[in-house]
Amino acid sequence: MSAVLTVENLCKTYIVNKQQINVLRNINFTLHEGEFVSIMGPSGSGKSTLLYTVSGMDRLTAGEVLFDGISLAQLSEKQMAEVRLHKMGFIFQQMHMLKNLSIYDNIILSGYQALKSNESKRSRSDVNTHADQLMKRLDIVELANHDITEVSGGQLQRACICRALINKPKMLFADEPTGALNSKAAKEVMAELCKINEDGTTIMLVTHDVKVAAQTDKVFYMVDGNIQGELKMATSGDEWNVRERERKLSSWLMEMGW
Amino acid sequence: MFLKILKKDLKRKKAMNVVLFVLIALASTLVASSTNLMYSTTTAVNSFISKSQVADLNIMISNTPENDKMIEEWANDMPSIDAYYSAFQIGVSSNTITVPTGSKEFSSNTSIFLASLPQDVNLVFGQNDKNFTLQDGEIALPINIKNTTGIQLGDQLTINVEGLSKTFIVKGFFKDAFLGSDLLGIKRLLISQHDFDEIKQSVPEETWIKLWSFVKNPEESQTDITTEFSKSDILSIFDIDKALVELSYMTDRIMSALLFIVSLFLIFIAFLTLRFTIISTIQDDYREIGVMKAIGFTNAGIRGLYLTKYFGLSVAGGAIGLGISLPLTIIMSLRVSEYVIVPVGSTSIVIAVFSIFGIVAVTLLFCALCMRKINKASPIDAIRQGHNGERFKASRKMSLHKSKFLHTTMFLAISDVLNQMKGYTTLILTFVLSTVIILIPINLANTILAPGFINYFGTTQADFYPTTWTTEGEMSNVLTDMESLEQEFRDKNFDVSLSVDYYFNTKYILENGEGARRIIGMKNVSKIAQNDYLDGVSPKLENEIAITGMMAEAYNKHIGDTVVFEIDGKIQTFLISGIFQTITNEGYMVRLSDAYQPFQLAGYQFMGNINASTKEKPQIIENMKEQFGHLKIKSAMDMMGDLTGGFMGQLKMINGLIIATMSLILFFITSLFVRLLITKEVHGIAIMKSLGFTNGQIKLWQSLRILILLVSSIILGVFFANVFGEKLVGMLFRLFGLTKFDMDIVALQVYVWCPLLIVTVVLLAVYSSCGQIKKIHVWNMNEE
Repeated sequence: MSAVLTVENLCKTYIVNKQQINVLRNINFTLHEGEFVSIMGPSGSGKSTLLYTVSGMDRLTAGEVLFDGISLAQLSEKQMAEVRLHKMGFIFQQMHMLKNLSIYDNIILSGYQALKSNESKRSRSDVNTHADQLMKRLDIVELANHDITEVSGGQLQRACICRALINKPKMLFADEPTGALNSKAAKEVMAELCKINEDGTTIMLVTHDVKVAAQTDKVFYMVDGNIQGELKMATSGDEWNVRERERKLSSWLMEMGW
Repeated sequence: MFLKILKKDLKRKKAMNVVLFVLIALASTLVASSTNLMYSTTTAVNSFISKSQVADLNIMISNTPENDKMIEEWANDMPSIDAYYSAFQIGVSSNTITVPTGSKEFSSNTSIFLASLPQDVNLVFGQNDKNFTLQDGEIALPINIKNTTGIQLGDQLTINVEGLSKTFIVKGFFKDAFLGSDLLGIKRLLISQHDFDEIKQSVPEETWIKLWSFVKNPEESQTDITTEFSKSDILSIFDIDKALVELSYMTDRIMSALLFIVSLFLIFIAFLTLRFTIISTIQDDYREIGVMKAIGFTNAGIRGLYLTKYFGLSVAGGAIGLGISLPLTIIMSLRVSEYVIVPVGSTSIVIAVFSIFGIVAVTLLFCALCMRKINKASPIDAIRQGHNGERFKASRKMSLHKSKFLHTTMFLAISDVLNQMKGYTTLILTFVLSTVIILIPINLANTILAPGFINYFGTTQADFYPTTWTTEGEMSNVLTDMESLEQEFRDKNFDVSLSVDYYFNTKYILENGEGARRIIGMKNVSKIAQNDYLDGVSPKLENEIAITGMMAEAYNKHIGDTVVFEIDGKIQTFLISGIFQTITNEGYMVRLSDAYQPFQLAGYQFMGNINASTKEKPQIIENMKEQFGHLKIKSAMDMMGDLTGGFMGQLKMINGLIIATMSLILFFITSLFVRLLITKEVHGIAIMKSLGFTNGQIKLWQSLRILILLVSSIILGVFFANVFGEKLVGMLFRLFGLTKFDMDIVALQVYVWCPLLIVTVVLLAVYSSCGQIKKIHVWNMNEE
């Protein structure tokens, strides 16, 4: 499997009140196509910063991030936006959507936006068809014309997943996608993410939830801007059992100081 | 702690506070200056007229013993006349005055009289507002002549009267309340009594003209003398009462009123912006407000915190406004103080201080009213940012998936405008008002500059006006003169058709047989059609007459009615064939047909049309001016300049000032709004960025949204300016005698250049304010 995301010596520094704060320190890892990775760690350890930096949402201070073979640091703002539009999908904890648009319009907006690019061979009706399929798959067809304030958190997060997938991205980035949901909704959303991953989409997510992280292939544990440890989860055998994976992850996290 | 919170707010919302400060400062400046200007153009004019002892009625009449006797008898019989005075004047043709090299000739449309320094009534004052004396060989000129000719102190002026040539040194310029206004076409040049007597003795007695001035009994109303004089059989060359003198300063009052209206609009815009800013600030600070309430702050305490900021801003803005308004008032009153004695003292400072005080007080009151929302919110409501958990369905006016071709940014812009129309009310009102404020004065200027407007001055519209307004004469001589003049033009290959406007005195006779009012009569022997009738047609038969709309209203007359006039001493009945309007003589004038032959003329005016294309005419007029220097040829535009005095220049200056001020305001308000909108939409912008929208596309969305609002507002503004502006300006012109006013709309200016200017200013403001979009990052979406 080829590498989708390669991170080498990644550093991120903020200057606050003339003081240098190193949020990420020499991060190195590689994600391959189809991998499902979660990032865990205490608050302030740099998880979200790592997610935003490797997804090009934020500029890195030093090091290299290669996404699909492209160095993100070399891209202009416009090129970076193009990459985000065509190759990346994002899901956020707070299910951010545009207030003035219906659920359906929120989903297709970036699909229509991508049509202007030379890379796209789709038409508006292709985007609509794809949106219909995604909504059907995530069981939110009946919400299409609803306002974003009219639906539950779980439904809204599923709509956000549809939006993230509308341009068939190579990789999905999720910042605590279940953080604002109740356990039932969280379970449903994770089930959907797993299915998406099974279809071949690489996923990297940030979470505090052991049950969520236990469903991913690999867990990075971050402390003070460093990746302190990495746990690979088995993809078959007894360890495939959810409870067994959760137990294994919990004890590893204990060892890491969680 | 209050100060800390305040300091933080001022630092955090720097741009917003700066814009508010500038708006308050601008509003204060304009209000203080225009109030001062209004004061100086009303109170100062009145006090100047009073200080100059302008007589209640002044008439100029030929110097004959019969006239003297009639006037003295009439005045002695009138109980309302307290005193009367007479003074000799000698009429001088403007082309007999030789001006120094580099100065312009005297306007041929101005009647010039030589006189000695007035002693009893209609006094004059030097530029230093003091009395002055004149030695032999010295001459003093009214300020109007100084400004129109450029003659300087110490220049030499040679005047030729009936073969006697005399050279004078310009000793000074004077302020003349009686005849000094630009709008009055009569000016007097003052010389020493000895020089005047010398000239008087050397010219025939019949050329002496007497100025009679009547002062009313203070207990009688002013109109008594004028009305009674109209009823008499005395035929004057010219009469002017105090009311007309006051009216002649109307243009300055119009200008100051225009500025005052603009400043009121500005305050309205400032308040709209203030309201929008306060509501946005309260929304932004809802959580803080909740926390303050939760820990025991009272509503009044919280309101006081915000009011402190607005108090500071208004006081600082007001202080700056006061500082700017004082020199600005002096600059703006320069024109008025040049012609009029403006009372010295601290009045202007007191007015400015009171205006500013008023603005600050009203601003604070308004702010306090806008902050009522603070009272309504409970601590928990406020902490929840106003969301109480209630779900609602937004009313979306359009859907992206239903639009087949609309660009996504364009869709977002239109969708925003349609769905949040209420939130844009302030901006829409600002754009509409700005358009209206810019366009009305432009339309007014274009209307006055339009060729047809000259008709309203009792002069027929033509391409050029070849010779001077001449007083008195007989019709047959005038026609001979016109024919030989036409031949003169043809001899030099100018293909022109001449015509002449005759003016003569008439007196309207009431149904009870009494004379009611002296009215100028006019007839045009022409090949030029008169198309300016409000109703009916021009008189064709000898017994037909056209009257003005003002007369029709005053005397309740309609087309087909009969009216009685006294002309050349004969009482005659006429049938009304048409209604027209004029701006001269307070809207009172009559037109007679070609067939009617008055015996004695009060004056006449030649005019000509060139038989060539419109494009060629200006060049032909220039050539004519060169080849017929002695005729002092004027284009229609030159004529309008003469007739309107300095009004056109003033109007152009005010237009420039209004356009510059409004552009500045549009720029600041748009900047403020865009910044506020971006601040409120950080969340949405961050989402768009996460979806792959570039900064450029987001800027385009912002610009398109404002552009949609702007274009719609400009359409509304143009409509209001053209329709309601016409009514507003019409009301103004009604004061001068126009009963129906049609605005002349120059399409290119009104529909293209002005909107383009507004669009450019607004887009510049949007573009310069969109810089902060770059600073918004995806993670900002987590900051509600």
